[in-house]
Amino acid sequence: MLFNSLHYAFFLPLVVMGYFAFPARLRWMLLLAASYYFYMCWRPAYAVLIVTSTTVDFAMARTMAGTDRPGLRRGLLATSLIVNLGLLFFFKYYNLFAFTTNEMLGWTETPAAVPALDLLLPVGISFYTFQSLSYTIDVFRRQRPPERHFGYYALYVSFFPQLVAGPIERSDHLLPQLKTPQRFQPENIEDGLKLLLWGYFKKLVIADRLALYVNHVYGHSDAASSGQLVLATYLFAFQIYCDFSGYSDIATGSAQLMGYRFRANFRQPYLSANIREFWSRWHISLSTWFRDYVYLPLGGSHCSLKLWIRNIMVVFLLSGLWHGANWTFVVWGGLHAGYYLIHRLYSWCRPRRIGEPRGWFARGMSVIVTFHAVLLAWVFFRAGSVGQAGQILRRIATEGWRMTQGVQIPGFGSYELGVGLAAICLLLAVERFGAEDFRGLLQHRPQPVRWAFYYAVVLAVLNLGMFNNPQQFIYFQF
Amino acid sequence: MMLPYSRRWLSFCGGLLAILLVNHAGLEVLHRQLPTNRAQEMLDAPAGDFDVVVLGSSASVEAIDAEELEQQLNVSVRHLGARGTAYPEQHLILDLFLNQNRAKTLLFQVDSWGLSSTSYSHPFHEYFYLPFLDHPIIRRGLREYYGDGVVRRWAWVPMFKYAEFNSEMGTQAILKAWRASKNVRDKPRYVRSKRSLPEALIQRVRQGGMRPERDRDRTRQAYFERIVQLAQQRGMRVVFCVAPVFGARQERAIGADDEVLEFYRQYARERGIAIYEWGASDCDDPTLFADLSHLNAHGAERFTDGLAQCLRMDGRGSATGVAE
Repeated sequence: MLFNSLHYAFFLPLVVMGYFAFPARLRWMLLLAASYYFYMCWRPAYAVLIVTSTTVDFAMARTMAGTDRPGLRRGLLATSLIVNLGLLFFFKYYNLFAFTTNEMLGWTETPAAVPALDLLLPVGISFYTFQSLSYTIDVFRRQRPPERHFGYYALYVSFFPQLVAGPIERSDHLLPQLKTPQRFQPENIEDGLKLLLWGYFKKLVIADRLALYVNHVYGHSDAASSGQLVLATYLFAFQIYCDFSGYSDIATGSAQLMGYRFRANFRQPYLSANIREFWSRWHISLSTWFRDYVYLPLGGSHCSLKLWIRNIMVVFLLSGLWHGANWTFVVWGGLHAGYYLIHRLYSWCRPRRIGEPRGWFARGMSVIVTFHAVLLAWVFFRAGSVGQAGQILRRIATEGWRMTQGVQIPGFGSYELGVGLAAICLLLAVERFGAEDFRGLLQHRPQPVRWAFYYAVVLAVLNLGMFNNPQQFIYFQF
Repeated sequence: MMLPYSRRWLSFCGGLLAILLVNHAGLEVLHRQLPTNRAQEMLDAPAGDFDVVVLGSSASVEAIDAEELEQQLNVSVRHLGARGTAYPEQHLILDLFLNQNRAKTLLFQVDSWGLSSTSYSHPFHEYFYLPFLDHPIIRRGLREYYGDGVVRRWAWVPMFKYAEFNSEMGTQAILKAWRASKNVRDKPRYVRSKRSLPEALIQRVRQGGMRPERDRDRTRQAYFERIVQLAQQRGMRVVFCVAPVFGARQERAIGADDEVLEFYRQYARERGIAIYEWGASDCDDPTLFADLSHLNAHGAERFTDGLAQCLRMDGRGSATGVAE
């Protein structure tokens, strides 16, 4: 079930009404049933994977908490890691592993030895696996007690608003909320609806519109002109941002209707003045996950320069690989690692000059440079292969902005481009001059101004949203 | 002063509903004033009596020259062919037409892909008809195809249909409509061109790599039969013409779906319906085609000539075609 489907438009109000109509002690059952229904709409059989992950982690954490034997505790944690990462590896990375192994065997003229399997990637497996793992690791570190109620824990892993594409919530933040009966509060409904509205605006008006152009140009990159490749890359930067942050807004808004609050997943990432700032604003739940469960255990920055560089590289390469079973994502992660290292090393050398630009001009220039560094990495993220990305960059570098003799983009003319650019301007204006969180936007303005703005956004979504060309959320594939 | 929540909510929702109703009504009025879609064109046309009515998809738009047919046979012809339409939409078009017009002969273009559920990416262009949901025939036609629940949503939820199809019926469509004075979607694209098939395509067909797998969709077959029944109920003579496809008589070519063509032939035989189709020599001539399933100007001229002869002979025979 997609957030941008009619199915969800009926599902969500029914669940919210049911939630407040149910007795408080039984609400977890309703939400758990709704969450599994939500997931099983896609492919019922793969619910078994969530059940397995949930059961194993719940049992391991309970047993872990009941013993002080360090060896046993480590063994239990290892079991949890092996089961969760094993499932993730098998469904997500097995074919990449088979392909790469066979390619390498091909270099030595050895026949292919690892058969490729016809596997369908279970939606959201990377998200719920990481969410479940964070709980087990927290219990292992004694940072939280184990959850005693299997139902609440199962709901924490499968809670439908964030099940398939995050935000990756931590157990210490979400579990206590799930266990606390939420009261009906009009403020929550109001804020939830605001976020849903803004999320749908980003997804339907901007992301799905830009997808028409980006998908076609990247799908026919040989025939596209270099100018089209440049434009498609710029548009992709906004497509993926609006698609993913739109998803996060819809997820957060859906949860808030029932009184639950998720942590912010995006905070105006394209207004970052350096790459470190970018990673504190982009996909925050994932970057903090890697920080807490990979970077810091490796030693973080409290180690030698060499080890610190290794830690940064490991985190970013893993983060790239987390996104998908393709070497393009690894290169994308590697590029970000490179940016990060360059920024940090440079800021250590000249802390006053680059640490925090003070003037608006200096900051503006830093924002532009950072955005273009991120843009360069997006080429690898979007391309189908490293070779294609290299070819696109080569053509952009050698042919410049040639717009003639490109490909015809079906369904995307000057009107679509104009609407897309206008919507991006509105988005940037809201982010730059409005509140960091859409819920707080215009809150100090008179009511007629606020209402006029919300009405305008509703009309924009209905009149300009791409309802008859629904695109799956990009992060569903991860 | 802050209003209490319930009053604020009621005011906000009331205002929103009012705005949606105004938006909906505005689009409704605009669409009814713009003669740019096929339903509007048909509803606006004055009622009349016609000798021949042509019904079909884009293949009929490109292959059958209505003016040429009028001149050759000295009869009145109305071309109802519409691009990208499968039999369900063609049924609605004919039903709408016969509601205010009369005709003697239905020239029904059939094709080898017409019964397949995978042919046409959007086989029923519902958005052409949605502004006219109050028309009983349109409402019935859409209800039969999409179901009662879907049509109720379109009819009663403000802005639902305009949001769902806003690429086709929204602001962009209205801007386009202002620029175009009449329905340009169903005008022949190739009839005035002399374009022939590219050599690479010819070679691909001759090497036998262009035949797609096709299923046989019951809904489309039922609508095909309903079209014939509707015409016969109105006392019309029905003539089938098979859309010419390049290389159709060669094995493994795009149109060589003998099973489907045989179905049409047998259906026609059982009901005494004349059927006109091109022979191998015409179907294998690349100079007659603009693409694999559409004729160019030269092809259309030859096809229309043959069709005129077939009709002149009252469907009993034809120089180039096969008729019963």
